[in-house]
Amino acid sequence: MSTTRAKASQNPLAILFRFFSSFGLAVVVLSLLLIITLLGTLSQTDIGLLDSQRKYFDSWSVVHDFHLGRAVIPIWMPGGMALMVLLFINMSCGAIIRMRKGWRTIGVLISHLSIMLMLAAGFVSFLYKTEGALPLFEGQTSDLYQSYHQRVIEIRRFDAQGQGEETALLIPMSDFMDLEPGKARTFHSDKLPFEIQVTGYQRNARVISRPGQGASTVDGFAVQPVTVETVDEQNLSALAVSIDKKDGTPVERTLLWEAELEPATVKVGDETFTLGLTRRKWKLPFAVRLETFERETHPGTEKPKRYTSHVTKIVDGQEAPQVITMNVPLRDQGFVLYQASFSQGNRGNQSVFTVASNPSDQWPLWSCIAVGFGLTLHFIIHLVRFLSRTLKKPAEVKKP
Amino acid sequence: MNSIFFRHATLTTAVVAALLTTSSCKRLGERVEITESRTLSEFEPTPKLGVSTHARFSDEPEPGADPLVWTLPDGWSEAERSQMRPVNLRFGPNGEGECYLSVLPGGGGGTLANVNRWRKQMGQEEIEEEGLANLPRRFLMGVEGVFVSVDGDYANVGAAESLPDYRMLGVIATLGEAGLFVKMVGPKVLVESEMAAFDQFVNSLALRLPSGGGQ
Repeated sequence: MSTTRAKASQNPLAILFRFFSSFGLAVVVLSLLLIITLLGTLSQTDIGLLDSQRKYFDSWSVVHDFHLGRAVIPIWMPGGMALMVLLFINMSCGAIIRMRKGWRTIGVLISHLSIMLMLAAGFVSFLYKTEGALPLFEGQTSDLYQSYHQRVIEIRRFDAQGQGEETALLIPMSDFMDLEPGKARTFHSDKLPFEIQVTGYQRNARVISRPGQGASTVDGFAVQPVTVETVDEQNLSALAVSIDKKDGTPVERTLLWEAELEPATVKVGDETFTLGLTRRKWKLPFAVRLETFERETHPGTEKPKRYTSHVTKIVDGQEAPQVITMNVPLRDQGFVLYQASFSQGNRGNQSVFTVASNPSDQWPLWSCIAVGFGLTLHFIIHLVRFLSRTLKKPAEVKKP
Repeated sequence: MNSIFFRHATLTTAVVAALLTTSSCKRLGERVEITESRTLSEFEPTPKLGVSTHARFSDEPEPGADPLVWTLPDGWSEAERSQMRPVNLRFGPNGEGECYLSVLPGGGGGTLANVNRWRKQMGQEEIEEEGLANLPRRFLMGVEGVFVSVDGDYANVGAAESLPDYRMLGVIATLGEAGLFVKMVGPKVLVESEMAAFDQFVNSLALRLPSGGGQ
């Protein structure tokens, strides 16, 4: 029996399991998570919220520069993603599979499963969550919201009569954000009679008038990079595209810019195509019309007390009045519309909603409730055990 | 015991492998197929096709572009422009009616003098300040001016004979130091039938200003 056990302990898979289920790993991972959280939070002042999130929490590894006086010491550390995956595995192995199961440990088991649910919620949110802005003027209707951070190159097709197709092709920014000047990548599709070569991506840029011709100049305009803003929403990216027919015949070379007033137009045969660099857009399963917007301020000040939007939700032609105000969002079909901000312009009041769609939206709430329940149950079980032992002891003493 | 250990270890390996596979990065080559698409919304504006590079990136008028914008009414045509008539239009079966915009630096002598000059061309008596104050008001290019309507025999500058039974419509306004004049003249019956077109033209006249666009 002892030989069998010794053999089992030498099995590489068994060693792996022991490592992943160890209490020591849990302590190290939780400590590193604490450090990463601290460093990531502090870095937000220098690099902004989005970059901090990407660098420290959405990453497998991170190199943090520690400043000691004038010296800068780069230290490699596992990123938040790696640590959370390790924690999930550690809890699966140590707190679920390896743990003794019985009525005495049921509370702890529930609590650990709940924490794993919270980690799973983060992973699902990372993969599937969409979040963006839906700005509406009074009287305006829309069913689109656009991302705060994700950019895409959008290609639309129009026939000879100028009628556009119902779908647009998209090149996501993950496919071109590494294309700094000097790097290029070609994109193709069976649905397009041409290929698109993308180069010179600038995360924040202006397109300026530059008379004359040059390698980086198109029709007297050129991309001028500017300092990247820490608030990513303020960055206006730009890039250059070359359109060539599939036989290699050049069609057009142009610039795309997030702040351009109209997209670039490319004519091939009888068909016309537009190419634009824009924020990624998603369609809601319902439309929203802003009827009126109300802004309440604290008496005698401009300090906002409450923003309220009276909207009409339109589903298949059926209209239903709704009110969206601070802390009272509109929820429907997995989408949540929050009152985010407002602006006043020539067209009147504009209310801006943040729209979020997250399959794991409510999981953290359920997880917290379950953790609380599990720990309460564990406490009650141990309290009952303690009390029963305490009450039994005097009787046991009297027996002899 | 061995089988329990082995089962747990295999499960651990499978979980680690699954997580690493799920989260592995996409490798990008030099050529990438476009696979993503989205359904467009009926509420999205249709982009303008064929817009020049200048108009895509700048809200300033293109070099050499007309600083004025207006709508040409149906059935009307453009005549040759001049410095005095930056917008010069014709209407009527034989182009016998004309309508044009004049912009005169310094105001061209003032509103009353110009109203009386027009009245004189139509063979009508001059009016005084009181008569000018009673003229209807009308907006031209965003500023309020006076609306003039005079019937009579029209004698154009330098013409030997006057043309009978004509009607003249006009709006005179002042924009800064400049005088703005829209004048429409033609046979009375013809002008009466083109009143709506005159309104459309006057209402559409504007300066081409930066649009203040952008996202």
